[in-house]
Amino acid sequence: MTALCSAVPSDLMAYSAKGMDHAASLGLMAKSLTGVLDAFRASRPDPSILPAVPALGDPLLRFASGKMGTDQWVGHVGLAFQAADAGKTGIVLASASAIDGKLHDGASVLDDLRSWSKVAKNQWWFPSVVAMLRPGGGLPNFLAWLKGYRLVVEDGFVIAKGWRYVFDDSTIFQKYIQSARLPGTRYTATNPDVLPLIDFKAGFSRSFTEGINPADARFWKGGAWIGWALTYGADAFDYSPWGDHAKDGFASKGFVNSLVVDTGVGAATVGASALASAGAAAATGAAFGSVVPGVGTLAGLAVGLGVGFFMTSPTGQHVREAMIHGLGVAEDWTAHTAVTAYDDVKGFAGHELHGAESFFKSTFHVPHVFGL
Amino acid sequence: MRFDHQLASAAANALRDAARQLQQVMSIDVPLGDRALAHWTGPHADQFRTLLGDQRKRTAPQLIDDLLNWARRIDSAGDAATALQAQHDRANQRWRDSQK
Repeated sequence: MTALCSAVPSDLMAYSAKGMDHAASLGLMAKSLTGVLDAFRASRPDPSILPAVPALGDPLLRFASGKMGTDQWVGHVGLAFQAADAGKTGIVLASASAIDGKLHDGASVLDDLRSWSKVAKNQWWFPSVVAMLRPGGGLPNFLAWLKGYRLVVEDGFVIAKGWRYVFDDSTIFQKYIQSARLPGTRYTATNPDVLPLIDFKAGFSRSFTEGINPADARFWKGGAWIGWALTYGADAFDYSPWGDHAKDGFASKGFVNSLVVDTGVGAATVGASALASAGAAAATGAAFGSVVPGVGTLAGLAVGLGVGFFMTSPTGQHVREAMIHGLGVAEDWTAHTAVTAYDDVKGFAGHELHGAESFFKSTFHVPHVFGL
Repeated sequence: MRFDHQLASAAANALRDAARQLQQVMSIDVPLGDRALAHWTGPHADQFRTLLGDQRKRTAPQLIDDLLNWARRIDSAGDAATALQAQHDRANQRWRDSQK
């Protein structure tokens, strides 16, 4: 006969949530206590007055860690009971083997999520794929170029030439190809609609802005938000009750440092992708005599893939952890630090932009890329 | 004689704070644990009952005792250091007076 067991899932989960919260605060208290006791021991109080004070932060930290594990497990059992009774409330009656099965399933799902959270961060190729495939993106532009659509720079104007019209009876594929066409045929070269397509600096600026600025509509349309959402979402999961850093919690310095490091990596990757994108567009434009759409997006995708691959590798994970730990050395994370970090990123981007612009100008021997 | 009263006071206070926080946590979590166990039966419930009982009856009280005990010892050591220092000061003063 199968052994039966019962529980009120909400009671188990209520205990679990509060207990884990308490365990996290006890862990922080233990670390703080360790620091204070270390400082006191370092002052070497006279042993005839006071024998060596033991490191009492350690047993407190062990207690907190053990409690965290127990309380987390209680929550999982609560979820298993809930799943066994299809989410009904009240007392749930189930066989012990059914609960063990649900617990095992839950553990597998959590393992999968933990693995996912490791590879979801800093995957900046994903937004590039969206930017490439979406209507108006790199691919339809490139296909239109293959069919003869051209943006040519002539006497300070950008002229749209070739197949660029959509008719009511056009197929979906034709409409897709034409989705990114410019509405007009002749633009002054300084027109903001075309300038980023033909000028390296403007191209970089637009790519960078649409990669990091949520106030820019292209940030949402181009898919950059997906990269940030995946990165921050995975960070949040790591420090949630189910993540690898559950015992630290959202109030920990580790969580703040993870967000700071991943924001920096994200901004640097977006910057590098924008450089590659604008550079590739300039290079192919100079080589073919007209804008070759899609090539820039492809170059940005390559950079995103490279960074994503590196950050997922053991070396990349190690580098990321070292950066997070390095930030942890700072005693306080303040608004001043944030401003300094922002200035550093801005300064880096400005320096790299200037260097890259000089490189392309000297390589292609033009005062402005595309001879404007 | 070496004894930093400021650091000693900070250490004793930190020990008391930790003990207080642990007491507070247990005073909330144990009733919640009991409530979870009220209708919880089966092998997992037995396992948790043992763990919670161990926390409630052994590990947490032992830890709180250790923390408070060392806080008291540090306080006492501070008092002893103050008294000993006063003794030294008086002896030094007597010696200086005898040299006049």
